[in-house]
Amino acid sequence: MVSKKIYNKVEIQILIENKINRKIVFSGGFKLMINGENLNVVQIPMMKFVYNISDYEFVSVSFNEIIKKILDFF
Amino acid sequence: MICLSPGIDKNLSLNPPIDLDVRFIMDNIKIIPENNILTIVNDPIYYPFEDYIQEINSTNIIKFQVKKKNFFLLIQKNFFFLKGINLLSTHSIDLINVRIDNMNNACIPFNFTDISLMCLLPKFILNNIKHSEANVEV
Repeated sequence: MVSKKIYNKVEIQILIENKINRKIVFSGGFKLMINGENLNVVQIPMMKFVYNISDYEFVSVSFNEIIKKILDFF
Repeated sequence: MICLSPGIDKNLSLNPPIDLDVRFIMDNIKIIPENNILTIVNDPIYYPFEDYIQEINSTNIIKFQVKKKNFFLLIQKNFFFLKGINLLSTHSIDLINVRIDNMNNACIPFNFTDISLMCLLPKFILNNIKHSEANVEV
């Protein structure tokens, strides 16, 4: 399933494959790999996980972005 | 992009299975994909060789000590047999890294169910481990 949005005149696409594992564990820490197109134009890609519309929200910044910032630091 | 799944605060009193809606925030742009539900299930638990249970920790590393007597048993049989719960229902066999001391993928998983994991020890690993500590990482 492809989701598309225009961002800075560039179409970014997020592809969520049907075969991905849709179970994650309570303690967290599972790597969720999301493919797409033009994702590199986004400075801080994040995933937000929402429980029961808005009761609880959890945000996870893209791992690649964190690694990039660490490398920039050095 | 790769994101880590969130850890749920136990103080929130949420009991698995819990459905979460997934959304993407690309700087100022929000994207809500179709078919965007992820389900949180109970953590996998690998039983150590001893008689106590040690749950998965925040780094997803489950530690269990290989006692000397178990170790000799292990050499004779050439494989590990680990018991647990919620194994196959929470992670696939290809995500498993059995680390022995500092050796990653030191034991090759070949039989995996929801309550057990069997992995084969290659000969060169057998020759190099003595009083070892083994970890299962997912």
